[in-house]
Amino acid sequence: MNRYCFIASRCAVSGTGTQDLYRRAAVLARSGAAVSIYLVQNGVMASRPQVSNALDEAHAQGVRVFADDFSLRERGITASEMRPFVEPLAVDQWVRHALSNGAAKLIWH
Amino acid sequence: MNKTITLCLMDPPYESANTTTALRIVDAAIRQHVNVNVFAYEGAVALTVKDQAPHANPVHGTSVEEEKHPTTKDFVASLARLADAMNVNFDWVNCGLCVDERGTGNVIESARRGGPPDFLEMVSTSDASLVVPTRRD
Amino acid sequence: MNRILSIVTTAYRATQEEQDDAVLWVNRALVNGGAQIDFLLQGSAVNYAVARQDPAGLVIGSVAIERPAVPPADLLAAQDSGMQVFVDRDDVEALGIEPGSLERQFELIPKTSATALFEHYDQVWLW
Repeated sequence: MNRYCFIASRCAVSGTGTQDLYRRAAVLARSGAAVSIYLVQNGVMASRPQVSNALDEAHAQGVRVFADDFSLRERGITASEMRPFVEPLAVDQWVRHALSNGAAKLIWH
Repeated sequence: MNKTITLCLMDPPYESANTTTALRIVDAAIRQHVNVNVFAYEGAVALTVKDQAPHANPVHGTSVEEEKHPTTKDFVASLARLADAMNVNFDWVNCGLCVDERGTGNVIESARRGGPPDFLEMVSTSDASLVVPTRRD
Repeated sequence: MNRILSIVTTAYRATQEEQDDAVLWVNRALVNGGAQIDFLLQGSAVNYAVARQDPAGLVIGSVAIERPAVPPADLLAAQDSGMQVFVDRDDVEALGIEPGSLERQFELIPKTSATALFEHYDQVWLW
């Protein structure tokens, strides 16, 4: 099975192409690939509810959505205000995820 | 056998959060006994310039000592030492043409001069690669 | 003296490496030198108005980042030096930020009023 690990570093609202990234991840997941999105930097602003329907759709298609725990803390985003499907993840855990079970294709946006 | 990851960095120092995140990934990889290659392209070649120096901060009203400003060359040198301690390979290559046009050739010992063929070799021998592009749009 | 409106639209660009937001920093430096500047936060920069942010603790190799930027604190310090801080309410809503989580000292304004602000300044800088 193909594995894709996207890193979404840009704001879901003001970052060009971020919505397309979510949609691309959804398409790959629908086709049978194992896909994750790691929200980092301003990308974690999508952890808050109602910021992007495309991220909801990606999750509905089976995309796992992680958020860098440090970036969340840095921006004052607490667990209580996050979408339930977004999983906080430390960077070392993401490295383990990305390189386990056969290395994935790593795509930064 | 250790895994290997290659990163391509493009942003100059002190201008993007991308570099900080990428170096955190490098740090985490080394600590998990993953070999790390970095190909520094465009402005990223300045990350390892030896002449970088911490500065005071007149807006904060802090001295050089109080401000404790980090430098990216110290981050990279520290990652190289960490790799030595963890007994993993750490190879930092600066794109030579990018260095020449920017005049950033005075770099720390942890970095070496190279070019796209080095990047290709790195990728060819890696389990995964990650391009961290500079974006201005 | 010209009055200047500085519109900050990017956030957390290198606030760990630089230990500052370079846009906030240079504007504050100019004010310290006698300029009259106010801030308008738009886009992702509206998150700078969130009161409780914790950027501490990063270590790369053995090098710690000991004084990372704390944007809301920098903006409060800017206010203390006479700068006003406006925050685009539409962008706050678009980013799903709970208004109660924002620093109360900053003025929330709708985007239409943000544009109308331009009329009150001699120069407008979009960062």
